[in-house]
Amino acid sequence: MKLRRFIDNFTATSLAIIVHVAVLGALILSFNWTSPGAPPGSKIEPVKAVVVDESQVAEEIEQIKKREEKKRKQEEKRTRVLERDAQKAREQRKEAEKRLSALQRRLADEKRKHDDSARKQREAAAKSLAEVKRQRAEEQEELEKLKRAENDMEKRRLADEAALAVLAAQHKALAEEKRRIEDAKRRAQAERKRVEDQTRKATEARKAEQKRLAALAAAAAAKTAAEQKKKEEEIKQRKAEEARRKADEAKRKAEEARKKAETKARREQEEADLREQMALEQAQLDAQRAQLLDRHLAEYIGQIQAKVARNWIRPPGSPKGLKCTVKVAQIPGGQVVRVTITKSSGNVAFDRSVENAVLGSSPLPEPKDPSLFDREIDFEFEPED
Amino acid sequence: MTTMLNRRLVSFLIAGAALIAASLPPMSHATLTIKITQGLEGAQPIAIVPFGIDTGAPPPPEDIAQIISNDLTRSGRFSPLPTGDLPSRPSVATAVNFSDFRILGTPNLIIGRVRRLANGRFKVEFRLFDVFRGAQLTGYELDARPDELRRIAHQMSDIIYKALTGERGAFDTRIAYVTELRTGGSSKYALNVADSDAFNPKVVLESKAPIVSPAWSPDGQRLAYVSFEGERPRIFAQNLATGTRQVIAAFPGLNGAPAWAPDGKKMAMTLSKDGNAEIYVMDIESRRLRRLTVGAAIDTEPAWAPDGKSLVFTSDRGGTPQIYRVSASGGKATRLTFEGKYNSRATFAPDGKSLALVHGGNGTFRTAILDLDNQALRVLTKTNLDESPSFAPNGSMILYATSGNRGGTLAGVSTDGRVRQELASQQGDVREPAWSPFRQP
Repeated sequence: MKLRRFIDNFTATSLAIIVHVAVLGALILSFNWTSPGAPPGSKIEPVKAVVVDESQVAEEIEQIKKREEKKRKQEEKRTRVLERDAQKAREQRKEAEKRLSALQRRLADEKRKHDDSARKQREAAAKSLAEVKRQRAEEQEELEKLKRAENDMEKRRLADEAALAVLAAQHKALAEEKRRIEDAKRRAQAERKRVEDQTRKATEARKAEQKRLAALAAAAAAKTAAEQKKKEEEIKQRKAEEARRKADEAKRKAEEARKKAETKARREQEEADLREQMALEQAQLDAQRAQLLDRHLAEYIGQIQAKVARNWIRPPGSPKGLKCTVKVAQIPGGQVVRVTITKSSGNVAFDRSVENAVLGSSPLPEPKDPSLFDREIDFEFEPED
Repeated sequence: MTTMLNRRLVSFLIAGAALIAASLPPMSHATLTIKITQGLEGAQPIAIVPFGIDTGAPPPPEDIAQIISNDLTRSGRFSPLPTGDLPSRPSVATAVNFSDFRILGTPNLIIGRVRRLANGRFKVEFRLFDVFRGAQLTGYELDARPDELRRIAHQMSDIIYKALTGERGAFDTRIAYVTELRTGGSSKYALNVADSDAFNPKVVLESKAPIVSPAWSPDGQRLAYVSFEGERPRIFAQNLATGTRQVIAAFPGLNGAPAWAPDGKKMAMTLSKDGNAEIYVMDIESRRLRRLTVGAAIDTEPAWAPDGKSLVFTSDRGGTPQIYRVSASGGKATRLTFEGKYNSRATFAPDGKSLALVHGGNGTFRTAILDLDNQALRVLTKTNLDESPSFAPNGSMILYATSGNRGGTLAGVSTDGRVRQELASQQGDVREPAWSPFRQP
């Protein structure tokens, strides 16, 4: 590439030379630079430009052939040199690749370490999550139990209801009997009324019989009432017990719910704490990395400044306040491949000194951290004094 | 990669903002900017390879590369590599191995060759390379007689100087000066014209009477001077090509210090025809005079501003010789120098922004530059008896005469005072040098 450009340049330059020589010849022809005080008549010939003479063409061709032969040989030699250079370049590239792969390995290593700790943290998180799940399952189980208890209670309630129905039936039977007793009483009265006038003895006997019957009835009634009362008392007691049990149950449930909520809140707090902790550690890690990079960047800039300043020779007697900005393209390894003036100082010599300072500093220093490497760097050249 | 760098750059700029940096969105493409404020001021290194010559044939009479090297060194702008340090000595473009020179840190390389032609002439070829870019900056082939080789070399120096500094070179110019050769009891004076490096001196006028104050016409074709032929000073103008001369001023009393106006039609001079040395301006064609100064003091050594609108001169009207400025149409003169008890022989820099002058004090007379913007006076030399400073037409150097061990010698100093050099020694006592204008095509 460079070679071709150079040849192009060479050809162009040859043309330029012919043109310039012709012009210069004309200039010199037109300027009388006869030696001062020289005797008139002894005119000095002006400098002549090169003109191809036809009689010399054959000889020229011969010379050209020779030159071409020579050139070809030089070309071959150069090719060999180029190949050698290419070999060297390949080796350098291999070396660079080796370095790159080492860097990549290091990076991979760092990443692996980082992944490791992340994985551990993830595992810990997963573990605590599993714990939460397990506790949730337990709670679920308790809930099931609770439901089962409720079912039992319902069954019991149904049983009680059945018992009550039986009681009601007994009650009814009792009432029936009472009614029958009433009937019997009424019948007995009617009998008494019918037989009243017939026999006194019979009356007395009847009276006794009546008394006995009344006592019997009273006893039966009392018995029925007592039984009734006892049954009602039992139901009442059972109901109260049920209510107390229910209240206890509700209280227990509430307590459980509270405990559950507390546990949940605590667990959530713990999880949040963990997350916060992880974020904090990540941030600290980032900050440390950033600080390291900052330090490396400062070092990198300092090294470049030192090298370029060392290679900067400003033209003497330049006016004050000159400033030149260049864009510099480099390849990994710091080799400067291009310097472009983005803002000229307006002074040719100053601009050239700037370009030469950068080109003369190739290869530029390399950053410790490869992530700091950039293919393009802007330079501002402005003398302090 | 780039965005990472950008992010890091931001965090670098905002000290301690590393935590923020991670959350910042990547900036649009902003490359690293590095400021360079330190660096040496100095001559630019350049490699000049001795020019290739024909093998077997007698060497050419001049060492072209050496002449170019001396020219560039004298300018103060370049520092050629010692020949012994050259890593290789290519004479053709194809033989150049740029990496040889890159290692040395020399950004520029000159190679060339001299070939003797059958007709006795020489073909001289040179190339200027940008070493770091491996590219040719310029190159010429010139054809010359043996006695033209030095001039060819100076022309090449000019081309190189222009290519590397952007300014016109002043190597292919001439200098005029007066020599005094004492033999026995009598002196012989000569007015000489030589190349800018004082080589190739040619005698323009020889006389037993003193010759002083040579002055170039703006077209560089004539020299005015004062000759004491016939026991009285008169101003002459002599055509350098033909040798013919004419008397410009032969008034009673002093006729001195001629100075051609930039338009070439007028000449300022010192005349005492009215009793006292005063500055006059003469229209050369009509010989009409206009007097610029009045007073009892001595006014002399006029010099034109490049725009022709004003002149400076030396006057002792303030008690000591100092420099004053006056409009070309006359009027009140203003004093320019206040430092020291002696300032004389002022001459304008080509850009009109400063004056070169002789600054005296404590028994020394040294070449100095007066900045007309801020009146700052800067002494350039360390010699003791300087006289007649004269700017190169590109303003890069000042030529002056100074007293050496063998009498007066020619010396040059770069305008910044960094490079001082005695020029090739001449026979006799050398005085009153004057640098020519640029050659005109």
